[in-house]
Amino acid sequence: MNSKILYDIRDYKIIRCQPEPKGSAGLPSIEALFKSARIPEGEKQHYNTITVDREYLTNQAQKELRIVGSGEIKAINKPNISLNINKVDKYNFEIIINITNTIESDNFDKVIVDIEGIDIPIAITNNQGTQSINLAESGEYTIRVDDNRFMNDVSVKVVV
Amino acid sequence: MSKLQAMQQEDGSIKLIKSNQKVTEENAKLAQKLDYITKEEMIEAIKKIADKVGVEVSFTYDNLKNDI
Repeated sequence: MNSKILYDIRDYKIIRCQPEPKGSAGLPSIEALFKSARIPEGEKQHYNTITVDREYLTNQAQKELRIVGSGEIKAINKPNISLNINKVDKYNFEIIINITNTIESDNFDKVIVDIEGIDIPIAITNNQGTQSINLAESGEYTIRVDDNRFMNDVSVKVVV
Repeated sequence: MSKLQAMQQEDGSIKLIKSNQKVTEENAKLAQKLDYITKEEMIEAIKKIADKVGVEVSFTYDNLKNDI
């Protein structure tokens, strides 16, 4: 079943996504999407639509897809991120980030990792990054990445 | 505010330690506890001295502390 996405042509942000309803109604029109998203008349020239061949509601499309392309516009899956923790010794660890399912034009230079409310930036080169950390206090730490550039959120618990 | 703060190390690693706020909270609790212990010790010392000198002393603290 197909879905129609309404996106902003200025920043490629996905605004609305509606799947094709069951029956013979067909995909929603652009006007129907404008109405659903409450786009004012004077703003409509900043938006366009694209069709994808799966069923998505807006939240899922915004979480999983991105609009790319300069000539031919496409909606594709966002890249995936993985977070691994390598234990060096009792207090020292290595955070290892890997980004997959990228396209040629992607150029990720940094990913922010959250450790118990502290933001740690990790430099990324060729879709990989590593950061050594020292956890001086005993306890349980949750290390996570929640970044809407990626399809998935990741979280790892470390016990010192 | 987080209970942790991050410190960049010379070798490029990042060290996470207790935040200043967390340390202050812990110190305040310790100081309260110490204050209580110090009061007890001082009163004991004064009672011993009073006993040696042959003077009777009593403390309001002794009467009220068991109400805590």
